[in-house]
Amino acid sequence: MERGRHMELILDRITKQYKNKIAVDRISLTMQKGIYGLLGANGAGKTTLMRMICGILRPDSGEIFYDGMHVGEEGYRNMLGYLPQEFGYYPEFTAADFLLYLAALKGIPRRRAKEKAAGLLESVGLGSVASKKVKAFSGGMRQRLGIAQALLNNPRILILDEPTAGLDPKERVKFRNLISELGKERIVLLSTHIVSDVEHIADVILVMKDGAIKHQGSLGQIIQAVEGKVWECRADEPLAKALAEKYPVLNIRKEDGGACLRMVCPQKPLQSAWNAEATLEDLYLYYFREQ
Amino acid sequence: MELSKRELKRELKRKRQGFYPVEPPKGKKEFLSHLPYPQASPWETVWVQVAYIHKSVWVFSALLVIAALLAGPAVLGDGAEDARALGNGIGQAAVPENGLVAGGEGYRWLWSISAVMPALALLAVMETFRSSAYGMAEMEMAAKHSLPQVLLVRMLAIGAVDFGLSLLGASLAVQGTGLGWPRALVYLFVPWLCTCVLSLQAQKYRRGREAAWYGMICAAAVSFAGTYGMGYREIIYGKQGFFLWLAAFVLFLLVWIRQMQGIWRKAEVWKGAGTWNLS
Repeated sequence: MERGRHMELILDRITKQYKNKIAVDRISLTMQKGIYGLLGANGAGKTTLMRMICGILRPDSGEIFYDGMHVGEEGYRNMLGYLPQEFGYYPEFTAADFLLYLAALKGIPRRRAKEKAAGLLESVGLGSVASKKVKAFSGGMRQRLGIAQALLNNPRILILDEPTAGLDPKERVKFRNLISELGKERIVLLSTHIVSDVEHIADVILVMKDGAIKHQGSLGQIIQAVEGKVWECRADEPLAKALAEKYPVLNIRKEDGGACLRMVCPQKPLQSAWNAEATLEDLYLYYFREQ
Repeated sequence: MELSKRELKRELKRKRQGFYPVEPPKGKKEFLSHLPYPQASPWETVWVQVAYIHKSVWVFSALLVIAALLAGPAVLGDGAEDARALGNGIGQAAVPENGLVAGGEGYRWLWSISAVMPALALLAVMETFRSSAYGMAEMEMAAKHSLPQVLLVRMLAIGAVDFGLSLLGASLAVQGTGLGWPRALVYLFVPWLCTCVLSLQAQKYRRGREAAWYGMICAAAVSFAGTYGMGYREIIYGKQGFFLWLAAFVLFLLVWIRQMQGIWRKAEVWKGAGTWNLS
């Protein structure tokens, strides 16, 4: 493949199996500049897929390329930024040490690494604590440090595994804004099971279940699967119970003398039911209702 | 009001900016981000990695060797007995009339240094445990110079220093026993290689701190075997048994090389079952 022309990340029928469980099942995907939100329940295969894209796990079959470079090549890793779901740090490291160490692994010369680390610490709001030990950091601060390390080499591909997990709502919004900005000039793949994160920033949503991509597209396209099928109604307790047995119920809100139900069904479940606007959360709950 | 020359210039400049507004540069950020910034040279990378070896590794290595050098003479006693026992054709150690011969001294040194070789090996292997023990492995593996390369560089650096230290030990043993250099090095390196092989093998099946514990057990077992074996030194260091040492050396060396290749290919160490969860 000719390099430099197609800045695409290509996943070609990649599969990964652990003993008798297929974690990733023949996924083929082509990604270009933009933010891709990988949505799925725990155990759907998101992390396995991301680890394969990062070259940490070798697929049992299939290939991964970026700009003609194979996932196993040093050049590919040079284009990559990765924030794992969980990561640690050497106990003696300060925030600056942490970044300088990873910059060394990324092949960045010492002087440039120092400048880059200082700039990134500032941009993630950790400039004032650069010389503090990482072990003294809160979860949110560590997560911000994590994203700073992922950006050290100005990656063309940025893989973020559950980047907003453990962040408070304010930090999550800040994080989302930062990711939005980053997605303008690179491929960003972020996995989450927090629907609102994906809903707000992803250009393309990938719904993953049982190791396969079940749906992919923009928010509007994805929601079409349940568009016009989301209904709300008020019912007393016995009726609510009967409806819950018959249809997939997305939400039950207790009210005086009964409940307000939100459910997915192809036709009107009750005469008094009214059609509600479908959201990504509806789709998510509908698909992952058994998990 | 009449303007001064300087004020006139400033005013003209201000007005001109209004007539011909300069467009903000388009794609400047993207252009800069695509510039091929210089990368660290391979040597710089190696030196940086050596610098990141925990200082305690060097300190402990030095302390262990100093302790071994002190322990040799401290437990020396009358070396004549050793020399007589071991002088049966295994070296050229002569036993003078006063009985205080270098032959016994040399074997005591050989014993004390070979007893710390497993600990030195463990320090080298522990460097490979640190990443997974502290949860850094994934980030390190996704970097340009990925973890296996880095571990190899570090382990070889520590191995080189251990080799230097063992040369010191071997020189004392050679002087004191009359053993040849190759034979002294084999006696010293078998415990080192054995510990490395066993600890790296343990790392295939256990991760992080657990693997470190297994490594410690391996090192302690090898060290204990060597220490205990001193009681049977005539048999163990005897000329007749040397071919067994040589066979063990070759075997451990081959397995160790294979493990190193495995680290390089990421095939051995990082494909351990149960390494990653399925989520």
